[in-house]
This record gives sequence, structure tokens and C-alpha cells, in this order.
Amino acid sequence: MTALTAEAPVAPRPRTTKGSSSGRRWMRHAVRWIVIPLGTVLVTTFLVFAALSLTPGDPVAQILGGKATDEQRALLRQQLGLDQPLVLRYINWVLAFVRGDMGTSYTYHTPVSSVIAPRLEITIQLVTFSALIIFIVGIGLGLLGGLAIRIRPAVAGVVALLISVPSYVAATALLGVFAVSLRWFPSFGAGQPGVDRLWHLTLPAIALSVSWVAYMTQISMASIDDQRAKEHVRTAIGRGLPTRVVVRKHVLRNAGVPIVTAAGLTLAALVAGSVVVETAFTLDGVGSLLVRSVGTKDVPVVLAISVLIVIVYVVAMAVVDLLHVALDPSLRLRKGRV
Amino acid sequence: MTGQPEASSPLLSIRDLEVWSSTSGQRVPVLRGVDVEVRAGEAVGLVGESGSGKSMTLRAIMRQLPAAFEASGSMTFRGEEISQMRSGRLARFRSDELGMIYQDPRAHINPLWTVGDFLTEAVVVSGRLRKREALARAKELLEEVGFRDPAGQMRQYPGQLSGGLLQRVMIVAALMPEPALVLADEPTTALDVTVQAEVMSIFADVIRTHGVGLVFVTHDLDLAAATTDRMSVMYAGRIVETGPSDVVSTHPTHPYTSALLASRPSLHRRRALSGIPGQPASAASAGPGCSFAERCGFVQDACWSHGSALEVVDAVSASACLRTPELRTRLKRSDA
Amino acid sequence: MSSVGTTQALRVPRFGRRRLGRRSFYTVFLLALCAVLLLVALLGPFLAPYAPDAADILAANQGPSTAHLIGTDSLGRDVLSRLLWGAQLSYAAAALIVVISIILGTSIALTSAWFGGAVDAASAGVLNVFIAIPGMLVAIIAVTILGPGFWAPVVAMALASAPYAARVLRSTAIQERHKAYVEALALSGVSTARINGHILRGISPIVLAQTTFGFGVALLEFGALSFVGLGVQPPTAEWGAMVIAGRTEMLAGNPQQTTAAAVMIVISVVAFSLLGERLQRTLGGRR
Repeated sequence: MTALTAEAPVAPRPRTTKGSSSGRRWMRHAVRWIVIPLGTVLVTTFLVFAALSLTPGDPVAQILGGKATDEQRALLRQQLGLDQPLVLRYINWVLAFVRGDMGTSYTYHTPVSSVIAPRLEITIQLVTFSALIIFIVGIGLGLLGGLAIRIRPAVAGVVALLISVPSYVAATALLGVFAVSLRWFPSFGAGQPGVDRLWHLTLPAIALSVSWVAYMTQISMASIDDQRAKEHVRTAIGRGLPTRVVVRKHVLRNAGVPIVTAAGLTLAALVAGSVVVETAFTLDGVGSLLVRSVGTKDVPVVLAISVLIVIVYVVAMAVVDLLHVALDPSLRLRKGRV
Repeated sequence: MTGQPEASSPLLSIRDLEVWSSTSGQRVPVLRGVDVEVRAGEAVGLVGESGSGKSMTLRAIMRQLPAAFEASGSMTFRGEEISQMRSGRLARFRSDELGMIYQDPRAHINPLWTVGDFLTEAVVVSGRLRKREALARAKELLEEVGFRDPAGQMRQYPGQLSGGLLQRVMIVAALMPEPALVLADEPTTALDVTVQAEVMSIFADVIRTHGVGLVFVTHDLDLAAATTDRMSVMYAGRIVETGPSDVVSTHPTHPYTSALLASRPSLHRRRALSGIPGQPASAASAGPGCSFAERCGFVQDACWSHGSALEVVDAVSASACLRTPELRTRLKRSDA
Repeated sequence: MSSVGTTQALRVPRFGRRRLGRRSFYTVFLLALCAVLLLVALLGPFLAPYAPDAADILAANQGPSTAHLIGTDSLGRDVLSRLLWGAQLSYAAAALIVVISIILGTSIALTSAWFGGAVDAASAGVLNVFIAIPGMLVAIIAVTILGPGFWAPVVAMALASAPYAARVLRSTAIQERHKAYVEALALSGVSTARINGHILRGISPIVLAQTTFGFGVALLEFGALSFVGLGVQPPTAEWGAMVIAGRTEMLAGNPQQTTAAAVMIVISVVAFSLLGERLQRTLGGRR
């Protein structure tokens, strides 16, 4: 009888859900998905805060204009906390931010939150619309191209071209063709909420999604191609598993990891891309607000929007990480990432 | 190994198997007329160097040849022609009656699913066993191959197991459906040398216990001799010698086999290493005559034109060398 | 020799040598296209028939003609000339961005790969923080502080792209660092600088591919910035700026400025991206 005398198992047995090991596991999870993202947000937003505090110009003068007295200026300065050191100002700002107070706009003289709020709705709708297009069409095309060999060259060709079309070029082209020549869609504004909004946002959403659809298609196709050639797929087929089971369990799931990463990156990039598209279609969203605020040096607004963008980024990355582990449980057990 | 094969019709019968690749319009032969026969419970070895076509033979049996490869010839399993099997039958053949052990377990097992899932998926999906039965059988087999905590290790992922353990998992997977035939493609080559012996002995035990027919592909003649009942030596896409394993490894009937045996270092005497001059030929480069002619120490003019079909030499052996009858005594293995 | 089809030949990437075949014509074609584009950008001002700001209000918004091959914009300036002058600006911006970010990224990658351990972990952490700020945003913040123009966005984008480059190059550098020949060199007492020189040469195919690919991306992003009005300001000619400047005219039926600029952007980005991808595949092998 050949016992396993010389060979010790390489890895320890998986932890059972009892006792302190479970507590330790939750601590590791908490660090990974709460502490680190939070830390990243804080550090990053501090950098943004510090950078923007270097903006030339006197906020006091901007707000009060030229006619204020020295007394008023000093008062405002104190009120805004501009005489405090940077870190302190940052901390105060953060504390106010989590309570919903993002400061006061230099240009509008109203709370920043009220300046952003109505525009947020439009931007969120735009980004969501785009995201849907990208994921459904992009991943769908990628799956098709990866699994159906006959369509592959056509898909690959289209993708190679579209991936280089930036959103502003796409926006311009779509405007020219569909809004001006054919008059199927409106050429500016976000319209009234409801179906009208959908109609107005169609061209902008398409413009925003063009290059990302191509990107997702490419990644999905490459990932599936990659997996199909893998030996473990051969094993599965060789054991008599029906094709659809093989595809689902061994091709798609393994291919899922890079696709999810790409999806996360895409979502985060959409937020930045909305800046361009909103300008192109004259949509009054957060993106175009950002651009305008840069022009008027309305620092509180620029700061607030930048921070929001960073938060979206970090959250998106954390969600991607979570999905990674859901798809590939073996990642949970390996320490550290490349 | 002393299995008692039944004297009835063979389990697996391959006649005149030819395999070639047709890339860029050219027909490049890989196997040129291979005959193999396996009886129920019998272990047959296919021995050869890289390029001899031994792995291709297995892939042909499973109908998993690479793209652009074609095959001709007859391959029957229990009398049924494998190449004619339709997809449903083929799938069932693969899932219920055949077990395959691949060379590199880490590449051949999906790292994203647990070991338990890997072991049970095929038999459960094909309906051969129910989930609970499959898990129980997997546990049993894992214990048989030496796992100390089968239930726990079935919950682990392949990445957590060592190569040796993983190959044992592969062996268990092949035996899960209680197949009649197991194909093993160099099961220990990818493992560390120290682990090889252990896995090999477990493998031999388990094959014997379960009484399955085995086609064992390896480049190690001695390993094949120790594990199989009969073996065939392959060179350049053809079989050059066939016979009982103990006979082939001590009294070879083909100069190639003899040269292979002689080229291995001796444990008992100090002598210079003798290799076979030249490079191993591929099926593609072999000419009309004997494929070994250019490297053979016994070559004659007739060898270059004589087709190298296997000729029966005696009751149990066959050789493709036309000079076998006169060379037999000289081809005997020289070291103890 | 191994069985046909079951093993893959080991491909040692040879920098500078390409296998002849159907595929390499495609690569050569892309190379030629990119070279032509670069040449046009370099010589643009000399090839342009008119000065970029030569306005002739009487000839405004004309379509293609013998005098103006592509037409004129709202101020009567020749679109073709503005395109050629703008090429120089757009390409210069993209080139600066990509060169700076690649140099930074490679340095970080090499340092990270060489020291490994704590240094690598620290740099990975820092990189992750910086990657959380999208490039566009960094540029926008830079413009807020420094005002619009050429240099602020260029430097900002270069700094913003460096982490991405660093991340990609870091994994390649680490792989290269652990190759046998590097260990051998280290053991034989060759100086750190020279070894890193070897590593650099080893990863140079990937660096080149990333540079080419990144050029296209930088071109795009700089154009985007000008498009929203935060980059190059009018009346300076730059492709992104021309796309937005010509928008009103396009809506009114005179698309020549916008279309021409947009087409040039797309062609450039497609050419360089495809070339970068090709280079990555032929020179560097797979990942």
C-alpha cells in the first residue's frame, strides 16, 4: 500500500468557519474593501485639495467683488477659514463634505451642492445609458465574435476602427449626420424628463460609448479566444461534457475576469468622458459645469466635482475587485496581488 | 504486471491508423499506419521518443486531434467504429467508457473550480451518477490514491495542491465513471523525479485493482515494461516492434529498440555512453523504406526500399525490421 | 523534433528583425503611414499654402475649391493650412506627453523591479493612488491653477499618464528582472547601471509598443481638452480646437472644418494605435 509518507500537502487546509480564524478573515476583507479604498480616496482628494489651493486669485475678492471694505474681507476670510493651515482646512472640508456641505460657489453664491444636484441627474442618466450600451453591445459582440468563428473577422475589423474614434469625434459625426442632415434627433439640450430625455440623450450616449464598445468587444473576444485554447477546456470536452456546459463553466467563467476588469475601467472612464460629450451636445450636466467652473476659477465647484469623480473611480475599482473574487474564488486564498 | 486478459474480442482495436496535418495545402504525415490492440483488463504500452507520434495516437482515439489534422483507418471500441460515432454517442463514450490522463495536470484542470467539482462534473452531467453518489465515489478513490483528507481536499482549489497530488486527482477523475479503457499520456513526465515513482506505483496499483484496459504512452521503456503487459515501440509515426513487455525489454526484435536499451547508462558496469547517431526522424521526413535506416547499425541496401510493415516474428511478437530473423540473437539486451 | 502541431517553437524576440510574410506587409504599411503623418506634422508649416491666421472674411465658409482645397472656416481662413499647422501642435503635444510619461513610467518600473520587496510594494501602492485620478481630471485641475494653453495640459497629462505606463511596464520589468541572464550578470559582479541597461534593452519592445500606442491616446486626449476649450485657445490652430470651432458652421451646413479635423484625428489615432498593437505582437511576443 503506497501511503503518502514522503509528500506533505503544499497548502494548509481551508479554514472552517469557526472561531477566531473567521474573525481574522473578516478583518482582511474589511481592510481590503473598506480601509484601502477609503484611504485612497482621502489621500487622493487631499492631493486635489492641495493642488487647487494653489489656484491664483483671491477667493475673497472673487466673492465680494471690488467694493467690499477691509473689515468685510477679513470677516469673510475668517469665515472661509482661509487663514488656517492647509491640512486643517482639508480636514474641515472633509468633515463638512460628509455632512453634505460642499462649500459655496464663488460664481453662483449658492451652496455647491445645490449647484451640482440638478445637473447630477442628467450626467447620471447619460452615463447609465452609455454604460448599458457598452456592456450589452460590447460584451455581446465580444462573445459573439469569440464563440462564433465565422463572424470574427468582421467584428475584429469594425472594432479596430471604432476603438480609435474619440467621443468628441463621434459626437461631432453623429451631430452632423443624425441631427443636422437627417433631423432624427435633437442637437442640443437634455430635454424634459421622461421619453423626451431619452430621445435627447440617445446621440450623446452613443457618442460616449463608441470607443468603449470597441474596447469591451476587443477584450471580451481576446479573453474568450484565450480560454478556448486552454488545455482545461480540452479536458472538459474530452470527458464528454456537452458544449454549452463547457462554454459556461470553463470558457466564460475563466474569461470573465479580464472582462470584469475592463468593465470597471470603462465605467470610471465614462465619468471623465461625459465632460466632453456634454460640451458637444450642450447638455447641462456635471461635466459641462466642471468646464465652466474652470473658466471662472470657481474652485469650490471644481473641487467638489473632482472629489466626486475620484470617489466614483475608487468605488468602481473596489466593485471590480469584489467581482473578481466572486468569479475566481481561488483569488481569495492567495495573498497579495501582482 | 500479470493481468488476465480475456481471450474474447479486443476492447480497443486500431488498424492502419494514419494521421496527417493539412496546413497550407501540404499533407504532412504524423502517423503512418499504426496498429494497436487492447483487450479488456490489459495494459498496453506505447513507447517512443518525442515526435514518434505516440501522443497523437491517443488524441486520435479520443477524436481530439488539433485543428487541420485528419485521420484515416479503423478504430473500434468493443466493435463500434469510433470515427463514426455521432456527437451524442461520442460524448457518452468519452464520459462513461473512457478515461484520459493528461501530461500536465495543472494546465488541464480549471483553476477556478474546486477539486471536488472537477472530479464530479463529468459523471453528474452525463447522468451516470447522482451528485451524492459521485462525491462518495470521489472520496473513496481519493483515499485509494493516498489522500489523507479527501473531503477537505475536495473543497480546495487546484492551485493549492502540489503537482503530484494534482496528478493523482487526474487519475481519480479518469476512473470516476468506471471506464473500460484508460488512456494515459506520459502521466508522470511533468512531475519531479522523486514524485514520479510514487505516483507511478499508485497508478499501477489502481489500474490493476480496477481491471481497466490501459494504453500507456511514455518515452521510458523500462517504465512501460514494469507497468504494462504488452508494448509497442514507435518511431517516426510507425510501430517498429510489438510484443510482451518483458520480452521486448530484454529480447528486442528491432534494432531501434535494441539501440534505445543499449543507450541507457548501466548501473553495473562502467562504460562509455552510447547514443544513437543522428536525430530522431519525424513521420514527415521518412522515406519509402524503413524510417530508421539512416541511423541503423545493421542497415542493408534492401532496407531503403523495403516498406516497413510489421511482420509477425513468432507467436507473440512482431517487428518491422526485415532482418529480424537473422539479427535476433545479436539484439539481446547486453546489460543485466 | 517534436510532433507537428503539439508544441510551439520558442520564439526569441529579436528586436529589429521581422519575419517576412503576409502579416509584415501590414506592419510595413502602418509604419509607412505613421512616418508620413509624422513628416507632415514636422513639415506642416512649409507645406501649407496659407498662413493659419490669414483671414479673408469675403471667402468665409466656402466649400472645397481650387483656391482652398478643403474650404474655409467662418473667418475665411484656409482649412487645409490650419490643418497642417495644427498637425505640428497636436503631434508635438502628443509626443511630449507620451515621451515624458514613458520616461517616468520606465524609471519607476525599473526601480520597482530592481529593488523589489518593500520598494515595489510602496510604489505599487502609490501608483494605485495616482491611477485613481483620471488623466483628464488632472489636466483640468492643472488648467484651473495655471490657466489654459499648451504647456499646462501637456505636463499635467504627462504626469497623469505616467502611472498607467508604469503599471504596465512594471510587470514586464519584473518578469525581465527575474530572467536567468539577469541573475547571471548580477552574480558576475556587473554594475547595477549596466544590468539595468540590459533589462531596459530586454523590455524595449514593450516600451516601444506602449510609446506608439500611447501617442495615439495622448493625441486624442489633448484634442479632447482643446475641444472643451481648456487646451489650446483660438486663434491657434489645433485639431481638437478646430472640431469644436467648426461645430456651429457644421450645424449650419458647412462641415468642412470640423470634418477635416475629425478625420485627421481619427486617421492618426488609428494608424498609431494599430502600429503600437502590431509592434507589441511582433516584437514582444505575447505578454
